[in-house]
This record gives sequence, C-alpha cells and structure tokens, in this order.
Amino acid sequence: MKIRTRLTLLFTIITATILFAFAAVIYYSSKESRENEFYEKLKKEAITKANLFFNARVETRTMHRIYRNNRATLHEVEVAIYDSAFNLLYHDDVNLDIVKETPAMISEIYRDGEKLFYQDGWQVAGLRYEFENVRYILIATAYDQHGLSKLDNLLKNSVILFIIAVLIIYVAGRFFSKKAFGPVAEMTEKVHHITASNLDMRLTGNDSRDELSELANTFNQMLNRLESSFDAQKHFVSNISHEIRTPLAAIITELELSVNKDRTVDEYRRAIQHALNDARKLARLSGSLLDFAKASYDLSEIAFKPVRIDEVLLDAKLQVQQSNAEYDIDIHFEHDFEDEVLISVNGNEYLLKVAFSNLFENGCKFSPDHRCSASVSFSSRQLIIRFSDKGIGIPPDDLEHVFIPFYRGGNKKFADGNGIGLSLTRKIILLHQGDLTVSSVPSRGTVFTVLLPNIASL
Amino acid sequence: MLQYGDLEMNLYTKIVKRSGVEISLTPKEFNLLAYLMQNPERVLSRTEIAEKVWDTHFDTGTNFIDVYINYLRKKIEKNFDRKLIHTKPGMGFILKAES
Repeated sequence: MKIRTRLTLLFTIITATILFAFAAVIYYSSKESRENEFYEKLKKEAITKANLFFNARVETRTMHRIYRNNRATLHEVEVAIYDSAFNLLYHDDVNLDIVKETPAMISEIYRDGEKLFYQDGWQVAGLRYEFENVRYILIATAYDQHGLSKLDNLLKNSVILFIIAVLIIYVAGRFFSKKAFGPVAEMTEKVHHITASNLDMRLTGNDSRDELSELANTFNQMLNRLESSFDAQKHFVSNISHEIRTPLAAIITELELSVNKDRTVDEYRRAIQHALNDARKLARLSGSLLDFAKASYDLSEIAFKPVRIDEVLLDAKLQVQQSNAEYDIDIHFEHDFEDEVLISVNGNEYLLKVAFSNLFENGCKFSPDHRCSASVSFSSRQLIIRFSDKGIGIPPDDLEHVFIPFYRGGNKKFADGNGIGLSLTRKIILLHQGDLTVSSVPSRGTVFTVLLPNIASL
Repeated sequence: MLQYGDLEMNLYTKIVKRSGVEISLTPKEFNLLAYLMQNPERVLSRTEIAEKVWDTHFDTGTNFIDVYINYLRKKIEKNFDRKLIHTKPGMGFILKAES
C-alpha cells in the first residue's frame, strides 16, 4: 500500500472515530434529558389532575371532557387515581386504559413513593400523592411524540452528517496527500529517466527548504558527484588513448620514413634512437598505469610491512638518477634518529618508492638546474618529508588541479609527461594514511610536503 | 668473511656479529659497514662512500651519509665500550679499534 493511501485512510479513520464519539455522546445525552424531562412533565400533570380532583373537586365528567378535547389536538397525559387498596377513584379513559395496573404495581409505588417505567413505548410515571393525610396513587402515562421525533431527527441527521463528513475528509485527505506527495512522485519519475548518458539532469527543488526540497538537493549533490566522477573516468580513458597513440604514431612515422628508401647508417641510428625514446615513453606510461591500478586497489590487497623511509628515499633517488644521470638529488635529514621506529612507516616499499621517485622526477624535470632536495624531519608520531626545488613553479590556477589524473597545466610546454605521476603519488600517500600538500611560487620553486604516520602511531 | 677486531661479517649469510652477538642491519647499513670493513683504518671521504656504497655522487647539501654513519655507529657500538667508527672532521670517517 502506498504511503499516500495509508495516510489518507489513517487520517479518515481517526477523524471518523472522533466524530462518531462526539455524535454518540450528543445523542445519548439528548435521549437521557428527553426522558427525564418527560417523566417530570408526567408527574406534574398527574399532580395537577389530582389537585383538580381532590382540591377543586371538579366533576369527573368535566375532567373527562377536558381530557377528550385535549386528546384531539395534542398528546394528552392519561391519569388514573387509585387509593392504597387498589380501588380506582378516577380514570381519564377507562376504555383506553393504556397502563394495565396491577395490585403489585400499586403496592410497589405505595412503598417506594415513585416508579418510572415504559410500557409498550409509552412512558409511565407512578407516584404517591397525599391529600388530607390520606395516601393515593397517581398513574400518568403518555407517548412523547414530540420529543421522540426530535430525537429521531437528531439521529438521522447525525448519521447523514457523519457519512458526509467522512466522505469529505477522505476526499480532502486524498487530495492533500496527493499534493504533499506530488513532488515525490515527480522526483521518482525524473530519477527513472536519469541514466549514465544524461547525468546532467537535475531534480527541481524549491526554495522552501522543506524536507522534500532538501531531499531533492541531496539527490542533486549526489548526481553532481556521480557526474564528475563519470566525467573523470571518461576523460581518463580518452586521455590514456591519446597518451598511447601519440608515441605510437611517432614510432610508426619514424620507422616508415626509414624503410621508404636507403639511408645512411647515421640516419638509421637516429631513427632507431627516436623510436627507442618513444618506446620507452610507452613503457613508462604503461608502468605508471600499472602502478596507478595497484594503488587504486583496496587497502587489504596491498602488502604492508615496516619500511625504513630513508632507505626508500635513497632507492628512489638512485632509481631516478639511473634513468636521468643529469638529475641532482639531495637528501637531507633534519635531525639524527636514535630509534628506527621514528623513521619507519607501515607501508608498501614498492609503492612508496614510486611516489618518491615521482616527486624527485617532477622536481628535477621542472627545474632548469635539474636539482631538487628532500628534507626529512620527524616528530614522535609522524614523518615530514619536504620535496623542494628551485624550478619554474606552478601557476596558482593549476595548483589545485595538479593531483587530478592526466591534468597538465601551463607547465606542460616545459617538459613532457603523462599527467599520472602526481595523482598516483597522492593516491599512494593517502593509501598510507598520510597527506600530500603542495605550495608553489611561480619561477621560484615548488615544495611538496608528505606527511606519513610512523610505525609507532599506528 | 670480513673481520675487524671483535666485529665479524659474513658476506654470504649477511650476518654481522660483534663479540658473538648478532646485530641486525638494513641492506644499506650492511653495505656501508662492508665498505668500511673492507678498508679498515683508512679515512674514507663522504664522496668515496657515496660513490662506492650508493653508486651516487656526493653533494654538499646532503647529510644522509652522516646520518647513516651515526645510526650504524649506534647499532654496533651499543652495549660496547670500545668505539669503532670515528669521524674525522672535514675529511670523512674511519673504522679503527681505538688509539
């Protein structure tokens, strides 16, 4: 069952119950008060007739006449007067005689002083009456046509009103719940249509800051994130294709040109050298991609063990210098270390080496003097490694994008690369629960700061 | 097998012992100590160490050789009275069994 229907039904049932209780109380109390009032009226009438009979000594015949006259126009009370020995002294209409009095009834009234009851729908009031120290029994009866029809009316009206009210409430409930849940239905409809190909679609919220527009906004934020990550992936793939195609195309052209016709040995050598360079570039790219894939794994899939950061730094330095002999890399320790723990992290040696190599390589690559330095300092909980160079720096606009895969800022003219290095490095550092930040002043130099928790703090 | 004083080194099993007590070293520390033991009682400059041990050239801004020597010194001289590695200011380091 839909929430909408459920809410409507619940709302209707609750309101109907309240209405019903309300109507029932009103009807019951009206019924009670009508009955009591009518008994009072009967008693008064009985006493009035008894007074006429005993006090004013009006003749029986006259009284009968009055009774018959009144009966024709309104529901006259029929009164009978008995003495304590069940002798009938007066009766308005013996022929009619609605109440079939019995001695037991009379003696009961005599004993209790009063008896109120119904007989065939007629109300009967019996009471004890005293005149000149003699006790008599008065019996008055009548049918409360007026009161009962009023009560009947009330009942009918109540039932009709109740049904109408419940219907109105149900309809109104459906209407309002539809109105309230309209945006939800609309949202569902819209979300149905959002797929990978039209992630730019957004839900329409309003500015009322209610729960639903908040939900819509939350959805939109999620869509924003999804869209940007989808875009990043799309870019990633097209970038990789581009990165692979460029050196491949260069190799193909180079080789085509050399087989076109006979060349000198020198020309062949040059062509082979170019092809070799491009092939190396491809190998580097595929190596980086592989590393990137490794670093993107789940933490649990990478082997972590205690690693001495100084050794990794030295290895990285050697690795970079092996392929780029002209690069100058300094490693400087800010303080002596007493304890291995201070300079060890729980990490993956291979990945850390990749990360440090990248930072060294970047520093040297983007510096005219091909120099960069790493300074290592540590506190009791973490290691701080600053990779600084005095190179061309990074323009402020590019600074926040340098960690995005394949992003190459305004510096790409200065040196070639594939745009994977820094994003890979950052990924690796984050994998080690560390942090990588960058600060740079164009044409003055760049500092990458790596924070890594040491082995004791984990 | 290299030996200097009570310090002995097995180049095959990569085990270093001093007075029979095993000392655990990292590969780089091991290489450094091996170089020192192969050239005992000789002052070795930072440039030489950098080139021979790490196959790299020494830059003046770098103190990692000092740091390594210090750390190695701590490892092999801990619990022993006699010093083995000495710093010759301005020149380099020397492995020597005290004078």
